Amino acid sequence: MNGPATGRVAYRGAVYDVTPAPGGVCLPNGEVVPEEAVVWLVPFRPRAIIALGLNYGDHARELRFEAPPEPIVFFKGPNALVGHRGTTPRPRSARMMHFETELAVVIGRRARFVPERDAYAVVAGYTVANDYAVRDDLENYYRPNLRAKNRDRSTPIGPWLVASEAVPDPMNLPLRTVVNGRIVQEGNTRDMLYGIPEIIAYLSRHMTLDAGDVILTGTPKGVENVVAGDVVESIIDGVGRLLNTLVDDG
Amino acid sequence: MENDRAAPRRPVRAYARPVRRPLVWAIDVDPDEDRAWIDGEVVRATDVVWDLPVRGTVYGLLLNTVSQWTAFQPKMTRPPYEAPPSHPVLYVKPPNTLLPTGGTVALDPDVDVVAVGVTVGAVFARPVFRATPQMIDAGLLGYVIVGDLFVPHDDFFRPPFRTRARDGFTVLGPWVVDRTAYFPDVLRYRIWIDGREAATGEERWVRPPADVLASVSAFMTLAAGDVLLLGTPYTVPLARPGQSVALEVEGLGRSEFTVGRRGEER
Repeated sequence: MNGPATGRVAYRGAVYDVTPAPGGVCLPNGEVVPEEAVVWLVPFRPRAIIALGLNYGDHARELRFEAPPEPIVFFKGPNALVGHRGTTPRPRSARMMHFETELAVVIGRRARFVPERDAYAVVAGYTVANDYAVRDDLENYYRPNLRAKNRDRSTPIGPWLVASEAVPDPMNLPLRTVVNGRIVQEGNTRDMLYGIPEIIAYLSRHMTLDAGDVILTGTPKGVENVVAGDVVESIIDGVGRLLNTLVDDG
Repeated sequence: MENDRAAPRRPVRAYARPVRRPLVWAIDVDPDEDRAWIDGEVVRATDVVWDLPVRGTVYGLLLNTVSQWTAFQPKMTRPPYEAPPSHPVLYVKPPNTLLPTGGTVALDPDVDVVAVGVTVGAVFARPVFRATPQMIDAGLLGYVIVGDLFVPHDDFFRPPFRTRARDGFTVLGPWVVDRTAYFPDVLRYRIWIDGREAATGEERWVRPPADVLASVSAFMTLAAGDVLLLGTPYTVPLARPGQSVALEVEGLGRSEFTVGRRGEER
């Protein structure tokens, strides 16, 4: 991991802000513990959880949708978030539940009517998200609807919040998804239909953004069904590797 | 159903956060007479500066009033909808939309009018997941009057970002009436704009609130302080910058706001 990154973990009954260290995470007292020894929490205090639909042209085509004439923006509740190395319940009845590896942009301060050229100044940093969708539950009202996108723990996020300064070009980051060790999805953030400055300008034209708001910027082509027991890694170069395991939800 | 429930005795228990009395939470109110008893003192509710009574996540329900469902029904079998919704249609009102009663809704430059949706919000007292309709009541703190504002739209295919997520579009409060003192079988409301009555009516729900809340809790946990808005009537008045709006829901109280223009104040 390059540059400053912070995480939040629970360890031996207390919650800590931690930093990456060789072989694990560094607690505030300098102690280094293995990353498997801690419980990973969302690496920032989330406020509005904002997501974009169909923001990569190849993914839109894969789902047989036209690229949207303006960003498709929806919100999620805090119930949806789960930390690194967490588990996500998968409804047993679902025929198609797929991962969506996405670059998550965390806002650092209150912002309204931000021009594109100033957009990066309101970004605190970046992290990795996996915005699972249960396609069986999609309906054509306010689509994607909450039942398909807002189940408990259906959006793993983390492990690190990587400071904006440490990500010089967030619009050119290779991202990929690895399921049980096999690469299944590969893309690059440069292929977003609406890039980060356009998204921040668009959102802040219609709403006040504030510290802790997080924007999930969409996923590229390559989504496929995953099942209980699958280990899903969402990897964005320079930002992090987010691990999640699907569990049976009965 | 109405007949087997006596009208609650006044005053009733409510929960609120008056700005100038930060330690107050439980109060007594007479919701239909604009009165509240705070620390033993009787006050006119509309004279008090109220903070938001709760700060959880606010979810709204589309097509859950009979009038809205009926009006939209002919479109439900046509593209892009194809079929009537089989589950509650939800939207999120993000934190920037929350506004205490008495506040100003500053319209953005691209918005000329705001539709004054009025509804009841069910407020959760504790985490509720996979509840039966019979269990829902025990998970609730109570009910709150809400101005669920929106930019008029009749296209429900994509999520309502530009139409519902604007700053100040969820006017919530003054208080949460205890669940034992309000029964949400019918929404009886009145709306005034600039002091003149702009709408009055009675609205029934497509699905009973306990059924809808249980159905939502089937796939997601509602946390303490979360609010679920039960639906707005199909026909609601429109308000413009410079106008003042008052809402009343029988049994819950009165909520007020003014409409401004972004840029005039921040």
